[in-house]
Parts: sequence; structure tokens; C-alpha cells
Amino acid sequence: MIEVYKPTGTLAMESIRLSTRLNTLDGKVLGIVNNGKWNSKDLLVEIESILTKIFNVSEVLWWKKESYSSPSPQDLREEIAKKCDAVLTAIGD
Amino acid sequence: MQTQKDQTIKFDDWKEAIEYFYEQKWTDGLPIVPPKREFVEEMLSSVNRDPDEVVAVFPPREIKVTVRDIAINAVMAGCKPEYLPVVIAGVEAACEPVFNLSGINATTHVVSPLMIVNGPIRNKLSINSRHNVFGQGFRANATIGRAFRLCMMNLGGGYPGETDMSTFGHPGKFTYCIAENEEDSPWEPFHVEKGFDADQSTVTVFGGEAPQSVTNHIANDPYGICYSIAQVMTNMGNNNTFMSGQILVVIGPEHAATIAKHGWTKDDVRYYLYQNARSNIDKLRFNGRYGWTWNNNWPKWYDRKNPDEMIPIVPRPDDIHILYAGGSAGRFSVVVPGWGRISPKIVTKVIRD
Repeated sequence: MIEVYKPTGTLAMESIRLSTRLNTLDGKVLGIVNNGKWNSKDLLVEIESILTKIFNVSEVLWWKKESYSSPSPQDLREEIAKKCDAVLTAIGD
Repeated sequence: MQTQKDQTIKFDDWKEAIEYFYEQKWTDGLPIVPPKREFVEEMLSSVNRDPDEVVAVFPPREIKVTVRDIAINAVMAGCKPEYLPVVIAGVEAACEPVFNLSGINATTHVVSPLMIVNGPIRNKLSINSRHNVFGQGFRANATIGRAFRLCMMNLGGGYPGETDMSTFGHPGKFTYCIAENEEDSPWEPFHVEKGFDADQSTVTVFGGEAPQSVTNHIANDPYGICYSIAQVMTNMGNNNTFMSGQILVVIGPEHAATIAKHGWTKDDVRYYLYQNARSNIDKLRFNGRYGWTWNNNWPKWYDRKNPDEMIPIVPRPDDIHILYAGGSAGRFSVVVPGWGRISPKIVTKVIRD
């Protein structure tokens, strides 16, 4: 008999809940995060135009990530969460 | 919550353990050495560090990894205990945020962290810097690089097709670890160039594509050799072409002897390459076939409206890193393109016990 270690370390787990889903953007603040990839701004501008026609969005706030291949910095995420009711982001490869 | 010390599994024998690790996807496709308690304890005895010391936060899983976690994967890779400090330093370096290991571990690109070892530890551990330096056959190179990759998978969570979305991968994802040949080099060592003392041992990590050959059996002066290197650097398919960043050039001994014979320093090579490793701007936009396809991160001073503008492969001369390594016979050098500005900088750490 041999006894071996698992190689996967110890991950601290935390239960979190999703935010309550919105059923409208009327009167809401929409945040848009451009991740900086090619065409992301064009796509997001088009979607913003469609959403603001359909809904009476109270305000649209834009941000751009410094690097599309890194997670958004913690302080940016906290700022977005504080200021917005909904967030839209793009784009993949 | 179970602590690491409790996370063990019992098997009847090695064969059963090896097959179980395969089933759990805890290997790189090659059989591992089962990390038995006594092997891990022996590995840990090579460092003066608390086994529960947190070394780094490993992305993308964002797990706090301990000295013991790394030792377990080092045993699996086949490392000797004395290799552990190098693996730990590699993990410390790669987990620095500026290296963006999160992106490297997950990207669709074909990139893998290359570990470059400098200083006295190379000879103490027989880390190869000569013939077949990027190839097989040398335990230290093979197992140190492999241990690092196993950490990327088992600790960092980079599993092919799940979180590691590399379209092709490359063989350096099995192991990618070399030493610089400081003894025969006509120039100062890489780590000394970066501000470390010659007698310090260091690991540098660089997010690299697979090595690309620079074959030049014709030139008997630095210009011809460096011209070939510049041409390979500006291969339109590499990630530096559209993503800038940093790039690595490894000059082989025969090429280096010719270059040094004409009195060129590493900086002379670097500035020649910065001057000549450039692509025509219209070629980079496919002559307008797909519209104005710019790299949004190019400096303002690139003249986008000038069809004759030549774009440097990297933004600054200091973004070209130069090493001396390889076999003593053969007029070859090697270019290792980088991942781009999204892994902004190489990171160097001192190897400590």
C-alpha cells in the first residue's frame, strides 16, 4: 500500500449568490465595459443604440479595460457595481 | 475544511496510483511519479522554508499555493529535491501580476512560460545550456519545466479545452526550461544585464511561442546573421506582429563568435534588430483588404497614413531580450516570439533555498 498527496492544493471556497435579475432597463443605469479587442467598441455602440431605443435607460456609463486578456481590476469592478444596475461587456476572439 | 496535510489517497501500488492520476487529469499525458509522503518530505528537506508558506496566488483558479503544493508537483515531474528552489522561484516569478499568467494559462494563442536560468545553480544542478538546449535528454531541464507545467494545470487550473483554450498548444507546454551558457558567452550574462549580480542564481519567465530557427550558413559578418534574425522576428504569423510586447533571441555559439569577432556587443545586436526587424504598414493591413485593421495600442508616433511606414516588431529596443545558448556546432540561432503586450514584461526572481 502507498499513500500519496493530491496535487491540486487547497482552494478556499465561498458561497455567493447571483444578483437579482432585472426585468427591465427602464430607469436603470447601464454600464458598458469595452475589453479593448478589435471591433468590441463597434459592437457595443450598436447594442447600446438598440437598448436605448427599446428601454428608457436613465444613464449609460462606459469603461475600457486596460488589457483584454487580464481580469478587470478589483477596484474597477467595485466601481461598476456601485454605479450600475446592469453591465454589458464584449468581446471574445 | 481539509488541510493539505490531510489530502492523501491510498493505493495498492504505483500502477494503480499512476492510472488514477491519469483518470483525474492530473498529468500532462506522461506518467507521473506518485507523490508519496516520503518523496514529498524528502523534496521539502531541500529548502529552508515552512511547507505551509504561501508562495503565490496561482491564476486562473486564484489558489494560494504553498511550498508543499509545489513540492508535490515537483515529485510528480521527476525532480530531484535540489531542483525545488528553481521551481518555486519560477512560480513566484510567473504569478507576478505584470506577467499575466492568468491570460497565458487560458489564451487561445500558442504560448507557454519559458524558464531561463542564470547563475551558479546552472552548473550545480547540470541545467543544460548547450547542445539540444530546447530538447530532450537532460533531467533538470525536463523535470523543472515539467513541474512548472504541472503546477499550471493542477494548482492553476489550466486544463486543455476547459480553461486552457490554446488552439494548438506547443511542445513547450510539456516542459520549457533552459539555462544560458554564461561561461562561453562573449557577452555579459542575461541576469547581470538586468541588474543582478553574477553570483546570484535567477529564474526569468518569458511567455514564449515555440522556438523558430534562424538558419544562416552564409554570412561571415554580424550584418548578415542579424539580418536573418530580423527576418524571422518579423514573421507575420507570430503574435508580436500585431500585439507588440517583448521578444527573445537566442544566439548560437557559431553565430555569436562571428558577431563578437567584429566587436559587436549585445546592445549593438539589439539596436540593429530594433532598426531592421520591421514590417511595412500596408503589408500589416493586408493592403486594405479588410479596412483599416490597426493595432489600437501602437504608439502615436507610428505614421498610419504613410504607406511606406515601417513598424518595429516591438515598441522599444529593450523589449528585445538576447541570450547565448545552444550547441557549439551549427550556424543557427533561434527566435522565441512573445505573447504580446498583454504579458507586458518578463519577470526575474532570485532563487533562494
